Amino acid sequence: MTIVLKAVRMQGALHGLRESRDADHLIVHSDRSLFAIVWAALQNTPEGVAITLGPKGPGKLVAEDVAVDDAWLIEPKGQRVLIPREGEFESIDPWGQTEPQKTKVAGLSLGTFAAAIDAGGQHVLLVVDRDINPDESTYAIALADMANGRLILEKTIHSGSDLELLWDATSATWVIGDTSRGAVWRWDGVKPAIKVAAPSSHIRAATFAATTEGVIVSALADRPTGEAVLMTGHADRDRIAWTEPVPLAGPPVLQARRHPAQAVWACLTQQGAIQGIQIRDAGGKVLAEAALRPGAHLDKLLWSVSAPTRLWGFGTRVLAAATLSA
Amino acid sequence: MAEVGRNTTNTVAKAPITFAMIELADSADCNTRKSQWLSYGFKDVTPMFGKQSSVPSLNGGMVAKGRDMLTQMKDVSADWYMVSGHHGAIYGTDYGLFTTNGAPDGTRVVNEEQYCGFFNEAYHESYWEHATRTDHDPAKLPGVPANAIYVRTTDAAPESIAAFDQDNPLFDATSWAPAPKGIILSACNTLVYRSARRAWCTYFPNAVIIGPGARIASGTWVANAIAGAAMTNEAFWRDPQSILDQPGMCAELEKQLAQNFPRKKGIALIYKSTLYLADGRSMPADSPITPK
Repeated sequence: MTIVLKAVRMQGALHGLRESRDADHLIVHSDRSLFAIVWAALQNTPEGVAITLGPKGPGKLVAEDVAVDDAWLIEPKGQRVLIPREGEFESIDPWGQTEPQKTKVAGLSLGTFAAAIDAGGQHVLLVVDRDINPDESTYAIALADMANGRLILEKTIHSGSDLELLWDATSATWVIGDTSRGAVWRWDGVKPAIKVAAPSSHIRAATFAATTEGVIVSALADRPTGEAVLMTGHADRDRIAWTEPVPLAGPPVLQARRHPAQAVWACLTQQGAIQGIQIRDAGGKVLAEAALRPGAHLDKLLWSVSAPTRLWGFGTRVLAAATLSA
Repeated sequence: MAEVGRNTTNTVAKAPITFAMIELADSADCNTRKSQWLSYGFKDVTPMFGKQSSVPSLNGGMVAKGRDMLTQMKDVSADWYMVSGHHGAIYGTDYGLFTTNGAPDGTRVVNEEQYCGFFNEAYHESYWEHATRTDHDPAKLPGVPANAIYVRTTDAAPESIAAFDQDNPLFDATSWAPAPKGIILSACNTLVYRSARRAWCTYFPNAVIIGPGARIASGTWVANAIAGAAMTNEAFWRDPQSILDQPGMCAELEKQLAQNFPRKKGIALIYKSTLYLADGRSMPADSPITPK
């Protein structure tokens, strides 16, 4: 397996990205705007050139006044961008074919930090924040019912770690994953959420993937000896079935994310000043790797939802695409 | 070599930039910042943990090592520090000391509370939740008070109020060292409490100090806001004073930080004893804060 890695510098601060239609079309959140971009138009950008999106560069403006705490997403059926606003969702066709729409949701306030939508597009799960006392806030969970405009606040889930959200179609439940501890909650939107505790190991980063085999948790942990390991587990209804931890030799791995259809993990590594991307198998063996050029810094890896050989990476000033080939 | 006091700015051009980190809660914010600083070739000089790829949280099984690290950090001289964890009044029950018409008064709390600090989860679950200034015997507290770590950000409370170690290795350094270029305070309300602002300015009058002016759900809000600000490139981290000494640059940095921070909340900065707030106000850092 080989990796063809291309990283493009961005002038604005890149806060997020999602695919729209296919692996060549992206919606990116840069500074306070959303832009629709075509990767093919960016991938030949010369080294050292920073892309400015919008009227002065590539990218079609989709939405303005989108803050870091506006957890936008792509609606799966119509591929429209959904942006939570105060009291409503704004729905925009990123490619401009149909008019914007608004859906009122009573009680929806400013400040959403992650979002996921169910397969039917009728419910949106949101990470919100909740003030506990004058010196403490935590993340919490709310569910927006787009059909009747209601917002349901989940009462038991709270966390000081960033949360990842998934819709698990197999069990028709939401999965809420703690990215620092590897803990998982399942919630059907009606009954109390079920918490599945994480292992007691020193987990330092976790990701959650809806795969063809169900929901897989991938957690990076450090053994008392200092050895780094990857722990993976299948999130069942009320437990996580963990596999034997796999040692990760080589440069330190900052993040590991499971492929949606294959038992391989994309790993973001960093050795000194240089970052890299590795593809590892379930035994921890490196199947392919590629280094980023000096100065290119990534924070997150995301597998493409439409192309099994495409991996996206982004940092505050860098957008990267890794294309895998056998 | 002559000894140089902590309040003397480090003026060595292009010297290797160093940083040290204390994490008392979720490590994601420190890990993000560490990764970015390492990508510039900066060096992590955190005692015991600096060579690790990630920053350990000083909770549970890491408490004993963490206490050793905090002691050793008193001898460390770094260009940048990042301190992360829970932060607030020394005890949650302190809110009841500052009331108006019998009800807790948030404005009085942040302007009059004398004792604040960073703390870990064990402190939060024991002392912070259940102790009072007059009743703080660890034998009577739930949780695991033996694992509590509290790092003061104000004057230390007298032993009659808090009979545990309150040392902040940045304040309670045991050796002379060059002053840091800046300090990131990643926790709730780090720049809200007047007494804490006063202490940071007293110990580090020339450092840029960045921290929330509100409660936060996650330290990643701070890490992401700093990363998203256009000014915080490598040149800034190498020599923030040469940038912030220019007219208007502190207000510009504050504006950029605020644009990359959740809107209902606020991130603030202090530079040379002036406090810059997300709502556009600036004032002497020692001033009481009043709602706008």
